[in-house]
Amino acid sequence: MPVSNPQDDPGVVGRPPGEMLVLLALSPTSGLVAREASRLSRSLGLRIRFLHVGARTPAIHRRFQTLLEHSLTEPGGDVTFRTGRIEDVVAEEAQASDLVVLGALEQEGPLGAFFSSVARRVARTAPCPTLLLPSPNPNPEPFRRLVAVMDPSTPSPEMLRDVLELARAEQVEMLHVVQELELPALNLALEEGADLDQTEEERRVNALAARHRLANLLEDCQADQVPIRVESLAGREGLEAIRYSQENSADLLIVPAPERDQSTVLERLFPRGTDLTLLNLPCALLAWRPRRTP
Amino acid sequence: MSHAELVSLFLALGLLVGVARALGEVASALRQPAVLGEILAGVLLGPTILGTFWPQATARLFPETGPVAFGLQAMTQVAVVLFLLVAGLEVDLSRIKRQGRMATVVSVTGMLFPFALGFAFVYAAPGLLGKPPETATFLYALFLATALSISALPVIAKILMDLHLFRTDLGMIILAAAIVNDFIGWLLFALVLGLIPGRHVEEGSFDIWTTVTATLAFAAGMLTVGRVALNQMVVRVQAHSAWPAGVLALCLSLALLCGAFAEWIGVHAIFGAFLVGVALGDSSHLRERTRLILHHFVAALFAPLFFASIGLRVNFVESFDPLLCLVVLAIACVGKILGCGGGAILAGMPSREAWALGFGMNARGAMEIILGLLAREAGLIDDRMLVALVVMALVTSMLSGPLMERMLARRKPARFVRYLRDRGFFILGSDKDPFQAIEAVAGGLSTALDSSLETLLEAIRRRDRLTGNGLAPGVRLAHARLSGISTPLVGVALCPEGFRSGGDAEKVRAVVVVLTPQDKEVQQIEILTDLARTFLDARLRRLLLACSSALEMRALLRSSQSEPQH
Repeated sequence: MPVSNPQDDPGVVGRPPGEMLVLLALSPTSGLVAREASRLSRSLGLRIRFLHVGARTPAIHRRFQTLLEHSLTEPGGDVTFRTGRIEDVVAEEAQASDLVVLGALEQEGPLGAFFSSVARRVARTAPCPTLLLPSPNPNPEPFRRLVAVMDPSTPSPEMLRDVLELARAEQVEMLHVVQELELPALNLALEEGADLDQTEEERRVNALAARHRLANLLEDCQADQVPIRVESLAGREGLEAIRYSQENSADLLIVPAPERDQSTVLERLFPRGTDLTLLNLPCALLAWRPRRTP
Repeated sequence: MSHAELVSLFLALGLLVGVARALGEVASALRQPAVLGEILAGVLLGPTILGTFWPQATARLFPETGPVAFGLQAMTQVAVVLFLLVAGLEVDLSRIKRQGRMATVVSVTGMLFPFALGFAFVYAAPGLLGKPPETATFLYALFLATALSISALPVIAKILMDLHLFRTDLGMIILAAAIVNDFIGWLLFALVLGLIPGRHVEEGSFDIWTTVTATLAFAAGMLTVGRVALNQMVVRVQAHSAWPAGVLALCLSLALLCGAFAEWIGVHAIFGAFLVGVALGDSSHLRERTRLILHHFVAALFAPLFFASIGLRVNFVESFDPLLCLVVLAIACVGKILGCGGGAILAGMPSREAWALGFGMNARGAMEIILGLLAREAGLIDDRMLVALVVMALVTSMLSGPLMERMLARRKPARFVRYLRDRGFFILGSDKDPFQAIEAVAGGLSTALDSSLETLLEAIRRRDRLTGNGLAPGVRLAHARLSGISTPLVGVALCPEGFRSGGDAEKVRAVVVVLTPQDKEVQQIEILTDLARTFLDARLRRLLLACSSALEMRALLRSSQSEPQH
């Protein structure tokens, strides 16, 4: 997800300004999504394109035109209509996009993990980062408190660089860079004579190591101008990110995008990591994935 | 139950728990599995030792029939149900997928190979493997194959913790594979128990096919709808009752109720408790501290009681069959080590790591013993086989850690004491604050650096803003990575009375400054984790804070490193 300077000539940066694909649905929040997307496109210097997956009828077309007229500060927005499975259409249409934006429900129902919603399916299949907006603001403001959850095993420097660019563009108050630290079955060691201090020491030592590894990455990314806090969160992957975001009143949570293929019943029954976060959005969520090289 | 019988019951329970817990602590202090000491307590108090030299005492304390025996038996049944509840809490089935192909291969081969080996051996030499004539060969083979294919997650967790391998790739692969082995092992065992013909002839019991169908439906229901329902129950109970009493009562009552249901449909109660554990363990609302309390509750009271009770029921000397023990141990080790190690090599792991993984997964521990005792109670195996399984479980648990460590032959991690500089050691008065202490130490260390003191302090402040500075109670870390140095530098400032502080925060009594080369992350993380482990040890921290020179600190740390840490 690049941040281009809108004034940049395409020839200077070597590629045309990036594109933001905004998915519009026939829902009451579509206008707010469009407004939020419009603000963000200006902040990130991205061209904006609207897409509706469904049949094009004059009534629906008119409805979207009115919606965009009310929502956008600049004229010129038009909607592309396509039919098909939403996630497949988005995967195709977003090939040249740098960001997909769409509305989402805050919470999935009890069967949400098994029968994934449209927003979750799009986040899984889109070829670029996806921004899910569960409750878009009628008066959009920059994201001020960002929580970026790095991959627990191999944090991606590329993701960190994109997060830092976004943080700079949005002039954040605080960027929390966190890593969830799950120590499976550690409690069972108590049955084998380990005491509470030992298990606690194990947690704290691993947390310290994780924090410093993240800090190294950040130092290597030249993150000086952004106010940053590094944390490691002991607990279950996916769940701690939600708790931490709520505790810190985050307005944007950034997580590595879930794997494209969620094929096993096991994963659907026992969602973990990003899949778990997606079921219960504490705020807007950006599912980050690396851009495909052309 | 009469007054005298109540006295006997409480006496028996008190003795069992007390002696088992004490011997379990002794075993832990000797770096052996706690279960070894707990079983030994039963051996001492039961027919093996006390019963041989003073049979009247054993008969009086632990009668074999009557209300006291019934009471003890009921307590051990409750113990094993709770044991399986907490085992289930730690089962995270999706972990196997997250650990990738290696964990999947290890888990499959580590289960299938010992299973096939055990199954084939029973058919090839049933007599050698102690099959009682009245037990069906298929059922016996199924049981032994299951017993040989499980791993003990608690032992593995403890070994990984002791070897500081918990968050390594190897550690996570072992844990993922062991979790799956555990899960499949218990399901298989429940099936074996359900297939025992005797369980289906009692009045009111179901036929075998109804049992199998009901078991599958129960498992599927608990892992889908039941899991969601339990998650909602946890939220409501936590919201409307005192914590942790409300949620603990919920967990325990669900385990017992589902245990009762499992018994009713014809499988053992452990199956119900285990499934409740798996479903509850997945709850996004069950707090970590609740899990810890449950673990403590079971580990402190019910585990000693259960394992000591084994020694009460079996005469370990009379039932000790050296040949059977040897054969069971050999098949168990060969099956598991080859299955897991071979699988890991096939999946591309370097051979030393692969065999270390095999040794780690070979630990059987308490799970094997529970399995053995339940099989004996169900009449599937005799005392000789139970003793052989206990011996196998203890030997594999004792050998796993040392063999794993030896096989890995890891490079010794960097210790901070090696880089502690005399000119970076200060004892300061309480008129100084922690920032002044950092300045003093950094000033001492900066004489060995090209960069100025101000540059160094700015690098420390930048790092501090990112990561915070807490290291241990009363100990503050000041750290920076520098490009101009080739070797780490460590300095310490101590203030026994505590540095001057502006607020009510805990007094800082030590400041440790660590400077590491920019390009040596492995060394940096090793030094920082070594520092954390050292200062988180309360005894060592107290001694370190009393040191008066870098030399004294080095001597203290070097002598403590030669002792076992825990």
